[in-house]
Amino acid sequence: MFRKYLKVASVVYQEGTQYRLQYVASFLCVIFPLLAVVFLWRTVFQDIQMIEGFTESMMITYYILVALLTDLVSPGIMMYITEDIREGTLSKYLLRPISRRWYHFSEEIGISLGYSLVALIVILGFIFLFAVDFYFPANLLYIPLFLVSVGLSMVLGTGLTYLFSLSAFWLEEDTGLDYVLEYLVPILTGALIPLALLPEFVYQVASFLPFKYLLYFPIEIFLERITLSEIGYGLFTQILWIGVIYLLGAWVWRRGCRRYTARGG
Amino acid sequence: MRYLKLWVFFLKNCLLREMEFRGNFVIEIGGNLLRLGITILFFQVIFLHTPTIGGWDIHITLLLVAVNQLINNLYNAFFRANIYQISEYVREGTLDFILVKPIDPQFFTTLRYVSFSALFSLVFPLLIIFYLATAGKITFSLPIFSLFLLLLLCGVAIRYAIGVAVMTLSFWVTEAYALHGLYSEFFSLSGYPAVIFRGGWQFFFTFIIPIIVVANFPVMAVTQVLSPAAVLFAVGLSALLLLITRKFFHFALRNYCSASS
Amino acid sequence: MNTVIKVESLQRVYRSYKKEPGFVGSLKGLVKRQYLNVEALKGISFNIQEGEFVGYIGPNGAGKTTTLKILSGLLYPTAGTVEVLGFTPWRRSNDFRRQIAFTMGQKEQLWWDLPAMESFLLNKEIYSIPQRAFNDQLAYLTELLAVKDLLDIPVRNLSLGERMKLELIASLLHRPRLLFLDEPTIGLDVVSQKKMRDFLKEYNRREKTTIIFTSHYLKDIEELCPRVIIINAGSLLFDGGLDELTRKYSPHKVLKLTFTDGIPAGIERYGEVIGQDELTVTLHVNEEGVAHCARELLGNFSIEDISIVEVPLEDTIRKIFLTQE
Repeated sequence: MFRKYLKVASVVYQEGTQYRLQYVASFLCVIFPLLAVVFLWRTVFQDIQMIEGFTESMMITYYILVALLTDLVSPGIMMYITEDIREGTLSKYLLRPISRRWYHFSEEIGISLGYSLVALIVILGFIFLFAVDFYFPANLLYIPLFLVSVGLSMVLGTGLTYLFSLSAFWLEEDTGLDYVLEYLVPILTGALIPLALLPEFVYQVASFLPFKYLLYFPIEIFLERITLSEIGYGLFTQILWIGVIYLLGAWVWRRGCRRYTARGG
Repeated sequence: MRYLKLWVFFLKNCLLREMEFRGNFVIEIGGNLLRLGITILFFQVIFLHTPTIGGWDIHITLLLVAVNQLINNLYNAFFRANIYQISEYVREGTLDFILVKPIDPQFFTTLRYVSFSALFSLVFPLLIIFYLATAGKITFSLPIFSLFLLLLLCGVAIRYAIGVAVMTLSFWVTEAYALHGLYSEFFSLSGYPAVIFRGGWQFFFTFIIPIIVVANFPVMAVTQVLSPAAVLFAVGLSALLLLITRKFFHFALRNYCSASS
Repeated sequence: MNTVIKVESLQRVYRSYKKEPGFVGSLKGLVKRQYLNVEALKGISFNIQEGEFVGYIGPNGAGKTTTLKILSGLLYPTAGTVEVLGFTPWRRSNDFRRQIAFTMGQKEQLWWDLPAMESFLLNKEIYSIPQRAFNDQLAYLTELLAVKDLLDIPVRNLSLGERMKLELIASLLHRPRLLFLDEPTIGLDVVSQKKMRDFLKEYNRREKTTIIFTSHYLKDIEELCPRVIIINAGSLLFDGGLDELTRKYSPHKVLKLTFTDGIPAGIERYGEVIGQDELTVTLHVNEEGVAHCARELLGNFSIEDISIVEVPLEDTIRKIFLTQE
């Protein structure tokens, strides 16, 4: 049962490696912005010791983790379903004995894992090459907690991606939603800048949204910025969000399909 | 003269097309505005916690953000779509149509399309510069302003030259668009203050991949005294890169005409 | 008459190299390459006079497109001399390019999202066509091709046949002295093909434009081109009039007979039997003997139906290619 989804994931991964030049380029695309951001913070920390509890080493580690995790949890790859819906190719999936949602879930995981694996290697190289003062948690208990949280982020991220792509059932043309997501999501996940640095009011808003749990929360664990009880509370909230998003996804999917078939797509 | 007339025709032509897709026009402009907004937000937040970044205060940084966006928009408005399409011309063989026409092929391939949404988006960075100038955050004298404009043009020229050179590789490599992505990524660094690059990196980003010359030089011309040598370097480099690119493009065409089938 | 194209022992060799698969193979290829030479043209010569309509035929990969590309300046030859309108084509001087046009059936130059008129106006600028000349030529062409109503519709909403007509107009606006047509009728339905042919015939007659034409539809060639050049595997097989071609390679007619009561024995006496069934037989009979043969057959047997036709061009050409191999 689960094997066929695994198969989908591996096929997608292999397709990704076929375009080698593009593959290499896409990793350099991760490295260069990271490089600039690291240099920028190094310069900022010349005059200041600490910003909102972040030391220079923590800040740089923060951005390295962002670079590493973004592909894993990114709700950025939403074109597939959108395309299928707009071009009417969705029908072929509706007819197949593989649940559309799981199909895409495995597809996403395949892509993400493939990219992240190489990104990990590249970034490790980066750490050594630039003699980055990488912050490693002193309390080793935080590592498994971080990993658990990342795992949950991936599930949450896929759910969110899925939910957004279903909007294509209602929005027949490009409405710029992609742009809004592309630029707003990095603020809300903390990819742009740690949420703690944002003005209090923005921070409060971001805390009420699920995006925070994609990047900011796991990284906070890694940097030991929150207590164990806060982590427990956070993991609980993460699971809660996953439940909400997937129930919502299932509901929207059913509504969408009804609409799709009613239109005779 | 004839080429100017032709270019004006391209302009009209593209305007017509853009009117066909009005929805897209608005979305693109919105996207540009958002991108600019995010960048400003990023630096604003940093300046909430520190008075300067290596000596650059928020106003100089804002000027840099605006200048970088200006150059980006100019590049996107006049060149980006064209340069991106070079690989398509080669792959689909439509380059043949261009080559049989009595027209300079580089002119036609790299100036054919104009993006009006990018052109319109020039308004936003211009507004920022206007605000900085009228609020007295920066001061322009006439000579400084002309120097500023000159260096701005150099920035656009450098981006154009390197962009064309990179995409000309598609005469040999089928995945040149990936290289173009890399190129864009490189030049997205031009929006950071030059002070953050130190030692070897400053050298690297000035002489090897001249991203500092692109947007930082015009800003430095306004905020501090830029040495005549630096100005000369910027102008010389742009001219040299344009020349090399032209040679390279023609070399690629010759190769195309002796290898294609 | 003016000679517009002079081609002498034109040769074209493509050099490609073998690449072993995989990454190691690529590395090896960098160090030591094994070159493969493919001779696309093996030294062909011909001249074309002003105003001629020449059909250029051959199977896929024969070197047709290569020749057209060299003549229009898109490709350098490996050896040989070529002079087109007094120019060396691959120098691509503006004066040369202003006098030629190249239309390909498989590639389109009109801008997809805009009405064709915009592309025409673009060509007007590129070729610096004076306003009057542009208007006149456009009026003439749209009239002849009956596409007046299509000029203001975005090209993407038009059918292939309509687009092809507009492509032709785009190529002819600057009144080229020489027109290269690479399979302009490919993919068109029978009606559109016919219209295209009528147009080309009329245009060539009126304007005296030299046209070189490739097509896989021999009906096109038969109807349009008084002269054909046949090429196969890079070599010239035939260059001459269409009638001469038939006389040389198929000097016989096809005689089709239907007998009332069965095919008589010894029918092969009259000619080569090509096919037969119960009552009908098809014969190849020498051109000179055909009248005599028919008379004799009608006299000797009870015949229900008789028809005498030329050997189809297709058969003749197939025969040429086969005998060469």
